[in-house]
Amino acid sequence: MTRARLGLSRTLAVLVPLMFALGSGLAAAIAVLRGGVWPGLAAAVLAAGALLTSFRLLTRQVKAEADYEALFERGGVSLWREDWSAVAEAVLVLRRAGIHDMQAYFTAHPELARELRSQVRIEDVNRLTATMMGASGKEAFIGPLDRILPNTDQTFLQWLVAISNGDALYRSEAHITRPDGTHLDCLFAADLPDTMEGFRNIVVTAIDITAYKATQARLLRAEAEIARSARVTTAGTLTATIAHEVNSPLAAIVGHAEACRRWLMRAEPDLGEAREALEHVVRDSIRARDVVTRLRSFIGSAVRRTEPVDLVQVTREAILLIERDLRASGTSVHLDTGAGLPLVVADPVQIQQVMVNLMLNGAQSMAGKPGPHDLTVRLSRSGEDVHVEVRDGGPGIDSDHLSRIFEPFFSTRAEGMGMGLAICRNCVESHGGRIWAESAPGNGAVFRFSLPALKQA
Amino acid sequence: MQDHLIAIVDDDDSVRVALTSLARSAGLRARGYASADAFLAEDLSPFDCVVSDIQMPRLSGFDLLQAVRARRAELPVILITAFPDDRVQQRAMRDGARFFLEKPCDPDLLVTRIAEAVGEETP
Repeated sequence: MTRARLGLSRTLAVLVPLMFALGSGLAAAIAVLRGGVWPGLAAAVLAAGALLTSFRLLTRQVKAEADYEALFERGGVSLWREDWSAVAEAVLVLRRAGIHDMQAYFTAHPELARELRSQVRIEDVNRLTATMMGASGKEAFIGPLDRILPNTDQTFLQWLVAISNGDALYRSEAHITRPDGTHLDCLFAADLPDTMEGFRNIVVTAIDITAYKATQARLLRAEAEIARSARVTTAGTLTATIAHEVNSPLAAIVGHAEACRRWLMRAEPDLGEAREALEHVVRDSIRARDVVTRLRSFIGSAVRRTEPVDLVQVTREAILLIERDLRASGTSVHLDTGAGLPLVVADPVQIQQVMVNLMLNGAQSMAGKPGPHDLTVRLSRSGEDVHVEVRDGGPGIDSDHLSRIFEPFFSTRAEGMGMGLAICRNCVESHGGRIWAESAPGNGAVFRFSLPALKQA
Repeated sequence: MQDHLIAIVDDDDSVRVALTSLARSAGLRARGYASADAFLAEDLSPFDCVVSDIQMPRLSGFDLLQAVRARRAELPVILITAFPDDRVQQRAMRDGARFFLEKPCDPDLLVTRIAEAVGEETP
């Protein structure tokens, strides 16, 4: 390994003075043979000087190699030397062909991204890496990157984008598989070269952030749980309120209606009492209607907390929120966001719920299916709207069901309550948007919704 | 049932008016009270049956039941609630309510229950 790292320029730096020394030595010898003592002496001094320089350079180089080795092995951080030249060349070829948006391109062609990933080679890792990864030695790592990065990894696409953009620094979190099959969350960072040659030898640092990520996930789950229980509590109180507010006029209506029937059924019908009972029925019906109107405006104002919202950020947070579920079901999310997407005015919590619901539905639809589970989330501008698309590779939706899936209590899953999509529709429509689904049988399902874009001032 | 006197206790005006009207249409005499206090301020001896809501401000239907049991244990009390969970029902029956009904109740059933209550009391 050490010899292979000898750069051509550094080899020349040692060779030139050495050649010069040889030349000078030869000149001194010729001068002495020809009887010129002084030129011979001068040439000999020169030769000695050059030899000394050459020796010094060689010493310095050996020391540099040793320093490098020491830094690589004992730097206290996991280091990986990787060859990304095949990927850099592929990105270059794509750019020459006029493809610049790598995110969009590889989101549309996940199989090409997978193929490229298998062409990244890990050349060397330091001992600390082996220890951190729980491997007996370095040997377990040398080879293609895709043995280490699982299919669900989101970060490879970020490499492609960074390389395509000519970024000086790459940094991202990845979830990797240890040789023993357990998982590790790592923060990877690398200085990206600016020459194609440089991509043959990229040094990547890795920091184990598994514990940090677990804490972060627990915090997020706790937050989600608090939000959920707050909603459930509110819903419980609300249900009790509705029950009471609506039941009272209903109790009065049925009471008066039955009274009216009895007044009329008498041997001598009491029309005065019957008419009065009917007037009460009308009055109490109007009261019941007013209760519903009041409740609607109450719920409407209490739940909606609108603000300008960046859907890209909302989507990223939603992915983070369900990262564990996605990973457990082996789902790879490919997020494709157009540049300069306008904001929307929305309740961010509600819209995040919609995203979470649609993505989990998509992941569940692919459960148990062989092959990669690709879930594509695409955000784009469409006229005055921001358009969101969630596409899965599941069995799709029967055309009979397609028109009914947004109805409350409609579910095709045995354990499903059938409220998820109904709530999604309610959320989206209350924001002035639309939601719908499309499906070609056997070709997955696509859920789309659009929200009005915030008008630029 | 002609001469039986029924007390209807409910803080909700429209429900009270409706149940009073219902009782009268069934040939009973009925008096409405907007609170348990108002009813308990009365002499209980002329009444044959009490129909009371459970959820009311100040004194609840349970308080009313307890007071009636203490003052005139043989007076049947029918409790009605818009929040019919098992614990409420169990408590109503344990405390000695004659019947327990869910609100809005089937008016026919209420009339039947009242008839049963007063029939049992005055054979």
